[in-house]
Amino acid sequence: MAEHVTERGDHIPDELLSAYLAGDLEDPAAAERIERHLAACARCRAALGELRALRHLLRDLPAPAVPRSFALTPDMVRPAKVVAGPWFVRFQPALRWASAVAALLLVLVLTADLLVHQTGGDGVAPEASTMSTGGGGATGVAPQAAEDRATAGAATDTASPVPDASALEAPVSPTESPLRATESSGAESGGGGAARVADPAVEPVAAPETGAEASVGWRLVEAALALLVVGLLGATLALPRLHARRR
Amino acid sequence: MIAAARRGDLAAFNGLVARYEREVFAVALRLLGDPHAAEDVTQETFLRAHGALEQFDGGSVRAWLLRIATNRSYDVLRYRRRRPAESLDARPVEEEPTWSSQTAAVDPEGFAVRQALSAHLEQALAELTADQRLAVLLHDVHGYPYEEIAQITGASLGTVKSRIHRGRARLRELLHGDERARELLGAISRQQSGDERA
Repeated sequence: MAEHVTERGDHIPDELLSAYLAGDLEDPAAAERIERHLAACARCRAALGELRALRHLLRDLPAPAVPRSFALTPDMVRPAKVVAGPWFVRFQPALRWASAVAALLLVLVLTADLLVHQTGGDGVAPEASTMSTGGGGATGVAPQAAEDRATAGAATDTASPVPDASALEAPVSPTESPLRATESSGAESGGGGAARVADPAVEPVAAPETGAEASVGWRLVEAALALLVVGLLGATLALPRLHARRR
Repeated sequence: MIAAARRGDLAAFNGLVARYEREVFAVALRLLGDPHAAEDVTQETFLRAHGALEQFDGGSVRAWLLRIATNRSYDVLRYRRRRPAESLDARPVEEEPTWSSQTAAVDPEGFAVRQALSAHLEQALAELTADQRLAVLLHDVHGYPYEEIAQITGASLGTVKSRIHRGRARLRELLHGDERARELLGAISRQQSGDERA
């Protein structure tokens, strides 16, 4: 700190007076100069007195009343046993895993589809467009529809001979809604194959082109999986943000 | 007490809380100027201290707690500086902290003058820079030696001294800016020097 006292009759800066008051001046000569000046200067004596008073005032400044006790409760210090947050925050890792598994499954199915159709499939392109509209309509119930197809497929296998590869997937008419699929599978469990024969409009599985039907099945499964992946990813990303915004 | 608290004795830790909460809250309040923020910082200080008991190096508990409190307060101040509009909204205008009553001095007249000046002084303190305010608070209000303030704030001894002396100079300047405050300060100063002569 600048321990300089001017000799030109100026006054001593407060900062220096404060240091003098506290005995913080390292240079004894500076303290002597200040004392000489103080003896002659009433104004600086007054300033020193005020600084001294200020120090007393600060020391005696009333402490603010504490608004409440800050004692810690056992709840505050208990290590968190459950991860805080609503269910979707807690299931965040599960959601992430589910998205990854669904994505992997989609890749596997696409690869299998590609392999099968490279070896055996041809001329099924027109069916793809019909499929995509069907897939879009079934957004919410896609997994449910896939399950239904699986049960329906088990029954159809015996009825119509299909190529080896397509036996994996259920051939389902693209015009059939998921709701009707549920109805028809219910009917099958009751009446067996007879129900299907009695009402061909509900389940036109007996179409001649089994190869095309099978490829539509592939597309449906792929679309369902893609939707599932998008849905899961969307949930994984959007839910924490929604939660954060609400807070 | 700290040893018992380390063994997981919450009651022992709360003994520390009861002993230091006034001081921690006072420093946080004067640094932040906002009772709600000071309350949050105080609670958080004790929570953090409890979580970091293992890291406590065995020095002064008071200095350790105040270091946590001042660091948190500085975080709040930094946050406010980044978002000035929000902090202005958040600053309570009407809500004044309640100051605990001071024990009346021997002379009631001097006591009244002191109390009137205390309010001016609180206002002036709030206008110092955060660093000067903290240094003056810790040294002059709470009576910490320079070394401990250097420890708490992480500044050098010379810097701490300089902040205190500059802070006091600025306080006097600020008090002189208000006519009533200047009169009161002059009166108290004359009264004190009279006491010393007597």
